[in-house]
Amino acid sequence: MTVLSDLLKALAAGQVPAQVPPDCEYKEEVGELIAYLAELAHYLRAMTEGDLAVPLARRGPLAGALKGLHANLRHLTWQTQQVAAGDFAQRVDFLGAFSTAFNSMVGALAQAREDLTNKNRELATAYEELKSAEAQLLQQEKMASIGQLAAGIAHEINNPMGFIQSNLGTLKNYGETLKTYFDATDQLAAQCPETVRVTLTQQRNDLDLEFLFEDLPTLISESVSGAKRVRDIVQALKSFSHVDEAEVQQINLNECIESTIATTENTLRAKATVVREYGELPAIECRPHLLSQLFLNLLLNAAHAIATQGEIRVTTRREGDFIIAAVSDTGCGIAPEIVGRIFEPFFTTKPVGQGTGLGLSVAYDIVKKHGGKIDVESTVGTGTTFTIRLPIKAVADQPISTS
Amino acid sequence: MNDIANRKYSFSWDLLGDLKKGRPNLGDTTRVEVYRLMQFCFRDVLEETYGTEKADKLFYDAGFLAGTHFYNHVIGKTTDLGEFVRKLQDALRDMSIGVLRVEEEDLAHGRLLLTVSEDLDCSGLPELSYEICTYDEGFISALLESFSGLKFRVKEIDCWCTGDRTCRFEATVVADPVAA
Ligand SMILES: Nc1ncnc2c1ncn2[C@@H]1O[C@H](COP(=O)(O)OP(=O)(O)O)[C@@H](O)[C@H]1O
Ligand SMILES: [Mg+2]
Ligand SMILES: [Zn+2]
Repeated sequence: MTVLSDLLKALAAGQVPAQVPPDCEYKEEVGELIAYLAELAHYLRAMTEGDLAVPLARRGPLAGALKGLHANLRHLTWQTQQVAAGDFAQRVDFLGAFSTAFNSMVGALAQAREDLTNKNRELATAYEELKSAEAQLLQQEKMASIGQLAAGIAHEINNPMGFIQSNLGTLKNYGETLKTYFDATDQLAAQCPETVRVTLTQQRNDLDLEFLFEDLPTLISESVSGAKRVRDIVQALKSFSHVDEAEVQQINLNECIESTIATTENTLRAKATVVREYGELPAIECRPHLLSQLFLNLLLNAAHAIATQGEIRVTTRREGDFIIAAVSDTGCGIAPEIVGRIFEPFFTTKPVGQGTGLGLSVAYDIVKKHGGKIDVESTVGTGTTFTIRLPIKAVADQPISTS
Repeated sequence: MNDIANRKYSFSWDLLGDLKKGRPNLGDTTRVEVYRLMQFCFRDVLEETYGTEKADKLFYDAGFLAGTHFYNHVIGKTTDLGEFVRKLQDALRDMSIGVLRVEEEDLAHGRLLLTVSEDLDCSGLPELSYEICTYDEGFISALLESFSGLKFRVKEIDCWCTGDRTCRFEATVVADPVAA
């Protein structure tokens, strides 16, 4: 009896003997108890040492409670793995103060990740803006220097062109006068003696005067239209470099576009149906003739881009303090590799004599002068849209400049 | 599946009824004893009629059917395991069914160890010498299958009734030779 009593005392003090003491009563039951306690101790030791893989086969309320704790720890492990894999929505709902700490830690991680993502996005946007600002700056510099060059060329060509054109007019009159004289001498020659007449006819045929008088007007009129073309180009150069300016007015852009369409109705009608989608617009502060020029250039390009018959669509709408106008066509489109160059002065894909390459650079400059923006979107084979964004009020710190 | 041409009791979620309308005063909860009274009486009658094995299978299958509908109506489609577990935990807690834990997850090897404490079916039951949550087994296997598209066999390995305080379910993917 004392052996059992000593053993129970030892057990109550938390000491589990390695084996059943000899001479112990209830040897079998005591053996089972010791084995059970040893198993629990093994299980608990493993758990304490962090080994959550050791199972406990025993059942019963005591083992069950320990297994509940074990399950919670393993669940926590799984949750932590989930968090590590990026699932920041995991929350612990047991273990009291630990849960609070864990959950706020995961919350902070989620917040940090969100901040980082936002920062990254901001950075990327800033970088894009910087890049496009740099490109724009480069473009502006290029435009400015070419503008100066163009102004110089325009000025130099303008003067000689003036007298070439006027001389051609005079020359035409001189030709007609000569022809009158020639016809008169021709009639007189009929009355001359045979020998003189033969010589005159001979000379006249040798010099091919018949053809000369026939060809002279053609040559002159060709030169006149050539000279006119040169004048037009010079005019374009001048408007590109803003040699001439008009005053700022308040106008309705829809009306401005409409009158531009009217002036070029024939060219447009030959190529396309013009569809208008005019929005309700407030009056805009601008230089009307420049805007007409702008839309004329876009409309002509649109018509040129259409091979046989297509559609040109003009849309306008208000967007806050801006007016958005777009000119779309169902033409050939612009190849991606040249789209970056179309606003350059003298860039053209049209055959010599048909394109000056100034239309879009003038357009670009007009838009810029109004504190606006011009964008192009194009798909080869489908069509092109030029979109213009103009401030309704000329911006105070960016007045419509005159030079 | 029995091939009765005209089913009388084919389950649909609507059969659960409009509780707001139907129980304006008593509300949408009842006592756990009532649920268990029905469970265990069913079990008794089914066993008496069909034998133990068949009764267990019927419970498993009923749990499976319930789990499939539960997934569609309460959990909702998701492909993220973390989200699935979270939604399931919330639903089981909110509807007082039990407290779910993931003890071990190795879906790559088709294995999952789940525990449910305070289980609606068995917690507090007298100690018996067997696991009793057959209905839960079917229920869990349907949830896992609906979520993953894989067939799972679920076996309860610890139960309140076996003296353990939490129910522990082992889920293993079974290759389905018919479907494959
Ligand atoms: N609407 C358009 N569709 C297709 N290409 C266009 C269009 N507008 C302009 N382009 C292209 O941009 C080039 C430059 O246009 P622009 O500056 O007006 O000069 P130009 O019309 O004299 O060639 C054109 O040669 C053409 O290749
Ligand atoms: Mg052009
Ligand atoms: Zn159970």
